[in-house]
Amino acid sequence: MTIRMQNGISRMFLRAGILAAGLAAFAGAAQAQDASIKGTVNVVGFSGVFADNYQKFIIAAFKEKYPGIEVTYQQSKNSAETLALLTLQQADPKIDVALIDVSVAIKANKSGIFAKLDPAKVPSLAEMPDWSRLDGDKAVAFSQDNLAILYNTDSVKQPPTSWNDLTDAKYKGRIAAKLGDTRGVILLPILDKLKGADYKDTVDPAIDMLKEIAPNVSTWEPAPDCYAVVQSGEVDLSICWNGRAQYLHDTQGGKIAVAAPKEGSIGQTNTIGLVENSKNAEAAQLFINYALGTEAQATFAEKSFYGPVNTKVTLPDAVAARIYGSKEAQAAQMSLDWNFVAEKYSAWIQRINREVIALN
Amino acid sequence: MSAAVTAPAAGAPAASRGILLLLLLPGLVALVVTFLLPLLWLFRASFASSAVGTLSGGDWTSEAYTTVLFDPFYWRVAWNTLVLGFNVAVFAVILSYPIALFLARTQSRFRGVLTALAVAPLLTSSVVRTYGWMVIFGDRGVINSTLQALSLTDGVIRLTNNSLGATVALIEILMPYAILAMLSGFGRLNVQLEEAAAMLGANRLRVFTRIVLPLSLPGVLTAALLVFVLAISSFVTPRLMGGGRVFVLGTEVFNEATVTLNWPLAAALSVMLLVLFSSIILLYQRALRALEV
Repeated sequence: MTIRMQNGISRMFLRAGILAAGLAAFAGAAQAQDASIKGTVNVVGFSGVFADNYQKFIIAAFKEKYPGIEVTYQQSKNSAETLALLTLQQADPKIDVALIDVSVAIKANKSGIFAKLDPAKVPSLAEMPDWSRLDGDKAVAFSQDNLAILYNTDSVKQPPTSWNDLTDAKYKGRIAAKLGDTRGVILLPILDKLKGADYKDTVDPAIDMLKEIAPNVSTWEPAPDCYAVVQSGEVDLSICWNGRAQYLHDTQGGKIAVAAPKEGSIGQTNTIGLVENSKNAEAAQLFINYALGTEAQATFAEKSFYGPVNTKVTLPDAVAARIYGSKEAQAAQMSLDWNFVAEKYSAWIQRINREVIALN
Repeated sequence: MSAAVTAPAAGAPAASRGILLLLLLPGLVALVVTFLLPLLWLFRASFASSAVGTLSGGDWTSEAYTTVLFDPFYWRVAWNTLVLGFNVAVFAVILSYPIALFLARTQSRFRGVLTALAVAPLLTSSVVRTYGWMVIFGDRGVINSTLQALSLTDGVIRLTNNSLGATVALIEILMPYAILAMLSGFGRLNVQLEEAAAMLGANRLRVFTRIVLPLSLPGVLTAALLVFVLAISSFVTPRLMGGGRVFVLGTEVFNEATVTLNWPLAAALSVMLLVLFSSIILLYQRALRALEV
């Protein structure tokens, strides 16, 4: 009885809703809703805070614009897992859109995981810089999260201002640095530039500097992660990503803060790609177009402190400062030739592991 | 007549063998699907080309193996793994032996409870117990802060984020296995033999070295093997307690699989670990058999 009543009521609401939607559509393009396009977009991407923010600020906003399209979000522990999933499904993909690390995307493109985006269907592409459009628009960079120095606000009264501070003897045994992955691969070009070298020629100066930092490092494998060890006071400094630290600073009492070095930094670059043979390519490209658009990029930058890639996005000063640091640091912000770096990725990690970590 | 008698006699074993096979079938199928097939797949993946991100298929190449075999770094990693396994096995057995011996011989009515207590740590995930050790051994952990509060040390004594931390944590984590293995291997211990030896004038040390130890040796060796195998295949504890400084085969497989995405190399390292296992177990079983004779 009650169930039937609820059904009746919900049907009533549904009718009212349809009516309202109709009215809204009638009211004009102010809402810019488009329910005529139907379909499902299955997205796989990063987990944790990223997933929360992405669903809240990108996917929800997209669904509001296109009520006829259902978007699912599947969390993946890391890009390697995503690549494994996509590789296994290559013959019959269940995923339409993947958010994946740039170096992994380049690897994925070698085995034809991603499809070329159609510029007619993804007009936002015109606003994307050349470096972001990988392998002829098979995967496009959509956000950059800077590598930064994170510090414990209780124990570090004078936050570091430069990458050089990492070698300061007062931090002996007080730094957490997980460098055997993308963090290390990004740090090498930064330190190289600090020493006046170019990462395309050699990373020897950077490796030498890492050897100077090594005595200060307490753990190369912070557990549970590079943020928690700072918050708990187990270490004073941590070399890790800006976005998550900014978020934790705001939400968990400010024990952790970011010191963006004045020499500038480089962002860990995330890409979005349309999976080859996707059964929902139309709706998926609509979604990618939205995700690359100025509105989504600006919102995501503001809410999660990930730097936007779309060239038409201008950030308020306060937001830019929290993503890139001071004006000086902003001017010194670097970007990498990811195709070059992807080639060197394993070799650089091997050098860090063998020449720096294993010997210290 | 005789045919009538032998027919059912010959039929019975055949039928029972059939039933036996039938009973074994579900287990065998499960074993093939969950164990043998993935293993074959791993073997195939270790011969795939690393240039492409494919999981299997493609041409056969021994590229991954040549990389592993001609790189001294991996030999050192293998050596580290063996040393870690050896240290953990020796200390876990030495520490567990008195406990197991006590549990095997006690007449206490709490014996069941005590045995359950000894193996109770197995109910907790080894990840949780590793974190426990991180709290105890950390730079600002229980030991260091106590020492500093008592003014016994000035600076921090580095107990974790190195192989010491990984070894100690693994010893504790694997001790319940050692205790269990020894308990089940102590079947030949017989109090009457000890009483007889004592009656014949042997002192307690002599009774222990001549009677108890030799009779408990099979249990000890089984425990050592079990702990060794678990230690060399361990991944979580060396990774978390080692602070990235402990390079063992388990951590290298993880790195190659998830960081550098060289799946064939990861597979080749896994196969190497497997070969290492099997040869050690084979040698060990030979030794054990020789001992029993």
